[in-house]
Amino acid sequence: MSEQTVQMVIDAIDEVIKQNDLGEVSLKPETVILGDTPLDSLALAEVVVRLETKTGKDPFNEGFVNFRTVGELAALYDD
Amino acid sequence: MTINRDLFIITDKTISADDFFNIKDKYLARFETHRRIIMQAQSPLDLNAAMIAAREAGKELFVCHRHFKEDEMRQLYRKHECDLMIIKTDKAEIVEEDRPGIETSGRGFIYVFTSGTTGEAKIARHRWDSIEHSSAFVGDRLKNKCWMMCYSPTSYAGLQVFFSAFNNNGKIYYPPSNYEQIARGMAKNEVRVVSATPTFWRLLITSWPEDLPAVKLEQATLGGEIITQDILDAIKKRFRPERITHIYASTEAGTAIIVSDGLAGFPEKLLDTEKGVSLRIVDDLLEIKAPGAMEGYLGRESNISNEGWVMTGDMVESREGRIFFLGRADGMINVGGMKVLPEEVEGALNSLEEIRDSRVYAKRSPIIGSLVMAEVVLNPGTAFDELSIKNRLKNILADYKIPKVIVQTEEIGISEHGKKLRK
Repeated sequence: MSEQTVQMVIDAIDEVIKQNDLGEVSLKPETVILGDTPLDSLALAEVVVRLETKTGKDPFNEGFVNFRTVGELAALYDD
Repeated sequence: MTINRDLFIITDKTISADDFFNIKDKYLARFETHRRIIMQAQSPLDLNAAMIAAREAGKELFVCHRHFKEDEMRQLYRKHECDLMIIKTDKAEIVEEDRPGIETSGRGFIYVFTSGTTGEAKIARHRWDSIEHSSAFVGDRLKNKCWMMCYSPTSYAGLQVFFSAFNNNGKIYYPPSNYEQIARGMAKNEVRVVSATPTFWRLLITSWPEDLPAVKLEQATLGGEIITQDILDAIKKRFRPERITHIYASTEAGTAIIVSDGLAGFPEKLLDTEKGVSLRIVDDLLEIKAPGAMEGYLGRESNISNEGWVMTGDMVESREGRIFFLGRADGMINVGGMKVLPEEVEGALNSLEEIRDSRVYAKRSPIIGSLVMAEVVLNPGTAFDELSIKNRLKNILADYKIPKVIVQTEEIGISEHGKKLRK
């Protein structure tokens, strides 16, 4: 995965945290999204929608794809 | 008719009553040996002339939307066993004929395609006298006036406007699609009666050119979508109509509720009256029995009960003695078991000062089912601030109804029927 994509995912998560007033968190590629961050599944769904709005890509089009970390999520948006 | 008055203005072209009846007579002659005719016309002149001919001769006529493709027209022609098909564009005409020589008498029918903001168009069958039923109730003050056609001429609403104007010596202005030109056309052609969707009214008001004096209307009518107090007030302020009316009508139920007190919703007491129309609420859904109702859908089960109740699929709620429309039951978004009506959220968004219009829709999520999404169009000179919009929505809406993601867009698409396009 590219650094650019990781940054895009981090920005999207930060945006959701800001929109939902979830506090502050420092995100790295190895951060576990549903564990090391205040995000719940609803907020995670919001992250995915924001990424789709930005990239036009929907990696979950065919159903749920497993991912745990920021880096694993970013990899789904890499070309 | 002794005076050859103007009957239509189509964009800039004026058509006299004599011209119109000549065209009507040509269709009358062509329809003579046919029973069931399917028609698509680029020009409303041909469409309306064919309608009047078919009504006069008691024929069955399908009035097809302009966006139907030739292949679809041929399929409909065969599927519904028509014996004459006319597709008339500005330059050419495609004709299909069958079994010539069959003659019929009788009252005939008009087949109207539903506008269907979602899903495939259904075909509603109306008797000619039921489709023009409400034109008999047009007041004297609207006779001989110029009416503007703001609906697709093949939609149920467009047919209502046509018959209301035509049967009352009116002139009909078919405007172009650009809203600034529509405004100028209204002034030039002395339009006095306008019936349109709230979406159309909103665009007309926001596009009104600064150099163009206000037009005073005799009658302003709204229908087709939920009518909110803000749009009623905006129309009153801009067009100072002698009367403002909102109508609840559908292709299926016909014209059922007419409200002229200038307030959103309709009085609860209408539920009890027996003036030809009966209304009832079953499980928050409005049901209607009305004289203008269709006979049924063609080739599919209808939404009319055996006792004649049309199940509208519109959700309503009773509040302080009035009934308010909430939205379409089939457009409801399910958020973790909670129900969200896009129309309600759009109403809340539109009440914020910087938002001109909005569309709310569901985004399917593999993680949690559905998310509420919104697109908003801003008023000029205002800035987009997603967080601020959400914070203000918290004062109006329950948390689960607040869109998760709000994006700014340049415009909200509207259908040829003047309704907001639903995703």
